Amino acid sequence: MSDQLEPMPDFVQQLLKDSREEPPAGSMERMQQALAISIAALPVAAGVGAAAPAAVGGAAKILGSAGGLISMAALIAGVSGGVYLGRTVWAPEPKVQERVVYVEVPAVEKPAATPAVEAPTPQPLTPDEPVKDVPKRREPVKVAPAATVKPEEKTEKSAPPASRDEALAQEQQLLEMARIALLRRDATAALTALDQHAAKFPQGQLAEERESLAIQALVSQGQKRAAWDRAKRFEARFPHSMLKPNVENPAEDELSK
Amino acid sequence: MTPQFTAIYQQEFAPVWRFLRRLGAAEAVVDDLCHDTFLHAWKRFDSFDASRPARPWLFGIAFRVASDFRSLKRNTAEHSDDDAMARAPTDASAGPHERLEKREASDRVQRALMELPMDQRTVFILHELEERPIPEVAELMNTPVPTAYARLRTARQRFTAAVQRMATEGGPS
Repeated sequence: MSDQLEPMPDFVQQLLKDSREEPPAGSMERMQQALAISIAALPVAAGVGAAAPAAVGGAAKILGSAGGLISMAALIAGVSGGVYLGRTVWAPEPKVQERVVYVEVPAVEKPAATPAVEAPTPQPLTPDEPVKDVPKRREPVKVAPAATVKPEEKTEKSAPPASRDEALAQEQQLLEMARIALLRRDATAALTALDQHAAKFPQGQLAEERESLAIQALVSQGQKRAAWDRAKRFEARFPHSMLKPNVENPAEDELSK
Repeated sequence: MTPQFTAIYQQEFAPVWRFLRRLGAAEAVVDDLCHDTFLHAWKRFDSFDASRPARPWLFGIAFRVASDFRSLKRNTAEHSDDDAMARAPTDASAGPHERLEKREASDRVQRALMELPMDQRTVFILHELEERPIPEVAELMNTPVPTAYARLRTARQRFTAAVQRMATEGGPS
């Protein structure tokens, strides 16, 4: 059937050949960082099917092996997939009731066959809890609602699961606004969104991501000293953050100019 | 991201970016749509058949992302040609004259593409610019193969007519 098509004139074919456009230099790397952050912030079981939580866990292990801890202290499943970061380009996906929390366990190899649900007495972490001196890594643990969550557990006392989900969705939305603004090189808009996040969720689940983005926004705005100071505070607050490379290099590079 | 997904991302970022750009995504949103495409690809990575090439799969996702984006009447370049044309090809190795020629060629192609309906434009881009075979294009657009050929035929005629008209008028740039 293709043979029935008349070929286009030579000058049109030449024009098509000459018109090849490429992405701006550095955009792939920049977008890869943004994508990694978005993936890390995804609700673990949000309509992905069985493989995605495993994949996210795999990515977390890779990052963990590089010396960092998982940045998210607790990822709560149950946020509708369709509302991810305020975008509605895909139909909402079914809600999942299962919760996943990240817990610290000693950084020793587990027996391969040990399922995550049998991890020894997990203690959920608060988002900004300082890292203890013993090397540890965080592991995702699936927790059935109300089955293993004790009333005295710190993270669950502050808010019921539904409001935590809503808060996380709101946090994600604000950070995505900042991220998009940064991609558009609108640092002022990014900082505005981040300030809103800081005002509303000073100790939010995504505070670490907020600080990382704020430093990048300050750098792109030319506020080198402010970026440097904030990077130092970031390092003190999140000494094992996987986002450290994002904030160290830009701040140092800019300051050394 | 897993190493496998990272490898796919690095290999396919440029084709997906180009595809979205040619579909009409303005400079201000093409990065966002690219981000969405790969994010949805990640979410559906468990359904990806690793024995098949990733590009058609990603193009299919990108096409749906772009279609949904348009249906929401968010900012595409379909009726904002100046915005769509804002970015020149970025080939750092080319000289100024060559870059200007490439930019003019790119502008003409983009303007001609914008005169095509979305379905015809998609078939044309995938087949003529990305060199995908028509059966593959039909599959990712979820249309019968004869329909895809019919769209391509019409798209070629309209595209050629648009380019010829621009040449007669002295070009848009």
